[in-house]
Amino acid sequence: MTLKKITYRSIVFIALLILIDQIVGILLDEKYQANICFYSNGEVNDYIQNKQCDTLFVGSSRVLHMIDASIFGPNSMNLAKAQKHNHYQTSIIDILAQNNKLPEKLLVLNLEGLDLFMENGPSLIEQVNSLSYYYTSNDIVKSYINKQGWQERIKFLSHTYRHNSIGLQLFTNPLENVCPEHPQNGYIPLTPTALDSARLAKSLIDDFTPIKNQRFNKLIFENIIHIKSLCDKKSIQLLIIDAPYYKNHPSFKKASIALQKFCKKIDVKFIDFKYEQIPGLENKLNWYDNMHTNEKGSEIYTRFLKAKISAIN
Amino acid sequence: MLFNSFEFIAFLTVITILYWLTKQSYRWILLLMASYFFYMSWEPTYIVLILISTSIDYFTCLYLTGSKNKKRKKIGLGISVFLNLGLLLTFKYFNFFQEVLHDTLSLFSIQYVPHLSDFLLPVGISFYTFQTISYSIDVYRNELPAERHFGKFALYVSFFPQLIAGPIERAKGLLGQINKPQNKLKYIQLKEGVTLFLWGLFKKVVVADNAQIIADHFFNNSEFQNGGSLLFATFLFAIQIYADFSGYSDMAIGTAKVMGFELSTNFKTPYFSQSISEFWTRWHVTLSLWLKDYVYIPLGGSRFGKLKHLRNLFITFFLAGIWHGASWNFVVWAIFHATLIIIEKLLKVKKPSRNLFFKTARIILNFSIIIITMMIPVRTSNIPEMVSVYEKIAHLNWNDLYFAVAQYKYSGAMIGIIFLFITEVTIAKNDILGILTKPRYIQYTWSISAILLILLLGDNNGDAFFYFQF
Repeated sequence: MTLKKITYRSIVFIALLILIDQIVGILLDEKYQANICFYSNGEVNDYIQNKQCDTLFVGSSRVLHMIDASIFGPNSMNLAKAQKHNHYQTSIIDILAQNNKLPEKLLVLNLEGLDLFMENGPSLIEQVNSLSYYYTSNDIVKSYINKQGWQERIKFLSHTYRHNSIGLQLFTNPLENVCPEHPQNGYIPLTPTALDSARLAKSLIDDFTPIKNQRFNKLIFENIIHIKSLCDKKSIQLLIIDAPYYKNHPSFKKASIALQKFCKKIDVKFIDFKYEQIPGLENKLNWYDNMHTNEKGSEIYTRFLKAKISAIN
Repeated sequence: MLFNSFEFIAFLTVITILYWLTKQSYRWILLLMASYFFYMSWEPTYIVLILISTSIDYFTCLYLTGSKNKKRKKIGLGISVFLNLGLLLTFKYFNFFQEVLHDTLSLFSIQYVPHLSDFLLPVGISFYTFQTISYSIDVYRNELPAERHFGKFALYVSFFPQLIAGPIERAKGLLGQINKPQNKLKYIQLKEGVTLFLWGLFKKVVVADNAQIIADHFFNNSEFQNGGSLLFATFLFAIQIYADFSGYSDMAIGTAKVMGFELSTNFKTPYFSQSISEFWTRWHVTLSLWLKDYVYIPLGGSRFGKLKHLRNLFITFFLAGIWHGASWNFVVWAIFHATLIIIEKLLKVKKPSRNLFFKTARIILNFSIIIITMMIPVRTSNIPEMVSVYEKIAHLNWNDLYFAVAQYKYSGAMIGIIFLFITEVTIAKNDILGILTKPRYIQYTWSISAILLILLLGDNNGDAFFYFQF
């Protein structure tokens, strides 16, 4: 085969690939924007398109399952996501600010003390990948994704890639007529079961592995400053908290002291509930595992949190 | 540097271009430098082990070729095998031996604190040591002249496409190609190489990585799972390790092909085997052939009566099992498969059936046996966990299985498995390169679909290959 023919065929193949990639990408964009069901970030879309609140809670599973926003009143919302930590949360807050959807009064951010010791590797920065739809429209998302390596810029030349890992459900769930609703206030309780005590015992072993890296992740401090500046622009109060554990990891203290100091320096309120005596939470029957309260424990914790916030104000 | 990373694709592109631009007689230098760079990107210090292994076999084999004294030749070979196996045993099995010693002594109420080493397992050690041992034995048997060029021999040991996880190449094939490199790249080789690489990448990032997410979800908390979920997770794990390991092999063969090298086939749709004996001729083929040529036949094969034949089969398949890993679980797997092979021999299990009904029934039965005897021991981390998984699966509730499957029926893993099945069984008919004989519109549709599925469903976190731990 001549070089001319090989070149011609390669060009045709690449042109076809680009064309089909664009078509699939545009189709997925439309599906993404229309989705308000509780999958593929539909709850974020739903909030941006249809909701507004006074008080907003952002965090990981330790907010999703532990803070019952309805206790704060009908204008409160829990927009937490399980297994998504500080960089993801910062991105979400930035996306909300971009869409003029920050809460009107109070933003409560749960910051995991142990996040401070995490490197910007798989456990933190790659969590932002599930927001890759916003790669071209949000600078924070773009910068986190680009931090993962030079190759990311190349991958995002593909339109379809913006929907990597979350795009499939945009097709399959409507096919099955599946549209789980995001709970009205975003809170998902963990119902107590017979397995709770066994799970708690297991997590007390799993969660207590020593932390080798004791250096702080500077990017997290930068994130807090960024969130504060977004809140200041809109005159919104920012409160940083860290939810309680059944038993604290020995490395918590170092992180807690550092966060206290830092928050004081930049004039942000910080409450570390890991070191608060919360009546009722010493009872292991109120826990799902070492880091999550069950439905009963969450009610106790949320009421305590509400009282604390009222006391501050 | 993982095959499923952009770094590797960039590295391969640069090396391939430089390779074809370099004068034929100097290409080995480029490839040797590239191979050492590739290996050092994992753990720089372990390059010393490759150099030790290379030097031992290079000099021993020169000695073997020069010596006519049979006794001295035997001693020479013994030293080479002993030192290579010594490296392997030290780095791979030391902690396991300590564990065995501890367990054995505790049976006699003797307290022994194991002295565990904290060495990381050097990637690829099980593969390149087997490759160098086969070279020494071939030279000893006068089946091959010793290679006099140290650099080219070093390249045979460390050739980067297959250094980390095979295929385990024989010197006859690979050294011959290193000594006589192809003059020009053929278009068909480039096309085949790219197709194999794309297909391997698909198997790894779409099928294996997505199946792993679900299998891990169930296995990481196996004590809280029911039998149905665990059986489903075991099925997914079987798919995961097939797609992971055969994906790596495809990428290795494709990588070598774009530089004009032909490597051995390592997988032939093994889950479509009709017996365990057939399975081992289709799964990790180069390891099975290695064990046949350097263990089974030297032990006597089937030549010295039925009892010795069965003993030789048991030893060979037992070694195949424990080659994969150093723990009691692998010992259990090894015993399972060695016993099954013997049972098949005793029952005189017939050759593959051609009747569609019997063929299908035997494939399903054999796959079920593989799931139970191989996948559960390999996936669980200790004997109590393995026993608990067996117990739960034995008390299986079919509704639980249905629920687990229904929960993930539209997952990336399932879509990947369907595409894998359609490609390997129906379009390519057990050889992925069969795609290239199809009309161009089928080739284009298949390639573009595979690329789009990688973009949409591929796990972009660059997970390591499962077989690296072996």
